[in-house]
Amino acid sequence: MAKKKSKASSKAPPRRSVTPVPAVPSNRALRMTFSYEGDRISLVSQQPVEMILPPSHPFDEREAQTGFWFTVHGTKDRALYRRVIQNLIRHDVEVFAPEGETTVHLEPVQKPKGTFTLLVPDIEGAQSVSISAPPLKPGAMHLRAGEIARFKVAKEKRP
Amino acid sequence: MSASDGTVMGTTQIVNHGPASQKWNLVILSEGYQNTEMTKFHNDVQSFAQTMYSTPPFDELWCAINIYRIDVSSTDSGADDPAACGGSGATARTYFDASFCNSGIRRLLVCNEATVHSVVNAQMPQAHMIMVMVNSTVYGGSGGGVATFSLAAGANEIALHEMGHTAFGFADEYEYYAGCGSGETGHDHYTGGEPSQPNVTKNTNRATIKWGSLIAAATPLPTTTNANCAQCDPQGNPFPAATVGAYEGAYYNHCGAYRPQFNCRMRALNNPYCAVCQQVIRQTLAPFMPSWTFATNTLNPGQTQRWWLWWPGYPGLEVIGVQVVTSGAVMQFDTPGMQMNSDGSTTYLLTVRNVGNVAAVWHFRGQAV
Repeated sequence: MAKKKSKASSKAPPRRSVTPVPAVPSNRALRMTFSYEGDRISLVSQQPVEMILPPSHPFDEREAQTGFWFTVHGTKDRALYRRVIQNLIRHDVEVFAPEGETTVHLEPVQKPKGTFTLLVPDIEGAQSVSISAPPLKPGAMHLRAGEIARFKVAKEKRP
Repeated sequence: MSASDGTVMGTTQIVNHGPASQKWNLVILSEGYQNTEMTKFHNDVQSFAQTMYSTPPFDELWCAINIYRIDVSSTDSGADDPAACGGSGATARTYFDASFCNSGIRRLLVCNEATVHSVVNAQMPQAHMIMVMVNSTVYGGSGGGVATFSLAAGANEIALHEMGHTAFGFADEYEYYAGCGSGETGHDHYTGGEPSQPNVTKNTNRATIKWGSLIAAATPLPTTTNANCAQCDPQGNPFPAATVGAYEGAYYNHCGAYRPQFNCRMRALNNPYCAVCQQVIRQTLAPFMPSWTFATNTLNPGQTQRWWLWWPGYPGLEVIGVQVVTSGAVMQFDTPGMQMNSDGSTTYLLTVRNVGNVAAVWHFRGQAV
């Protein structure tokens, strides 16, 4: 984060230049829809969409980390975009306390099955999208996350 | 009890701050509303929008947000409410097949995610966040890629908690899995690596804790500790509610994992988002804020104006800054934050303060370089 404080007047407006950053061409994105059952994940569809996405999270070292995230990879596996998100492959489900109470707790899912979407930027040079998660079983959120699936990014049908 | 039990009637934008391609888009679908109940759904969605608007920090970020409703009619009203969980035994033929009593828990209200995504992909593929509003006054809801909630009093809180997960990647800040007093084992000490989520940590080092910029120098770290890791920490908050620190007990463990504030909506419902969560929401929605909201304005002496500038292009922007129109006025200009966005654009947080003695008319100017 850059920070600069200055006094401005009509005589001497402050000036500030921005350090160049890698170019990303557009606000195009892919809406990728997945289904899962147990630990099997399938890509259902990829839909090009014109939209802005939240900024990428840092590409820091995550080998010792827990959680769930997806990464867009370019050539030579270079990370182009990453978002840490909620684990969308639910083996635990949140249960809310009875009405009038405020607590929340988890219960294991008996037959994990569902559908989810990821919004990934349609970055030039993007080759694949990987999903990183802890082992897909109940109560595993403290275990180290690793890549559990990877899918090729569609190159056709862009608007 | 499937998509054959209703009709997708259409999509309507109810909060409009600009094109969907430029804004953060929340989509809310109706479930268990009959055709004749659509006006009720419209009112229910409006009510939720008002709740969201009054929830910090969405109030200050409102210009970043569009809300759309997708009217989906169902053959029957309500949702399945199996008697096995103490429900009425009602079976409703609804488009998304919503049902209470999932996993044997009445409050666990779930709908068919695949059908929801199919409708959203067709109707509003620019959705960043998807919610399903179920036409039932029985309390219930669930999270995941789709936040589902009923019309019961307080169920809006379920939606806001789940939005914290789905849209902003927050971890749960509660310190148990099955509940305090459940007799659970294996949750005394957090043994994993550093959580990747922004609002929980195992790190209590002031120099490196991920929300360190929000911790006052006088706040001890850890801020609280749990004297008995075999159970949830029973102590009350020994600090003022707004104190940001590292409170032991979070991320499903009694000890070894820390949360930023004593209470947060991600710890228990009916609390505000904590300061760390609010900061993340601001960062996430920054690219969707308008660029020139306050390009020209008047500030009285002592007043401060803050705004975001979204700059669409790369290679860069030269912020020329505040140009004071009023003769003799003195303005203090600050750029306390900037971030690169996924599309290559840049977002700046800008502030200007009138530090002089006269009201000042000013322009903000920037140019591409």
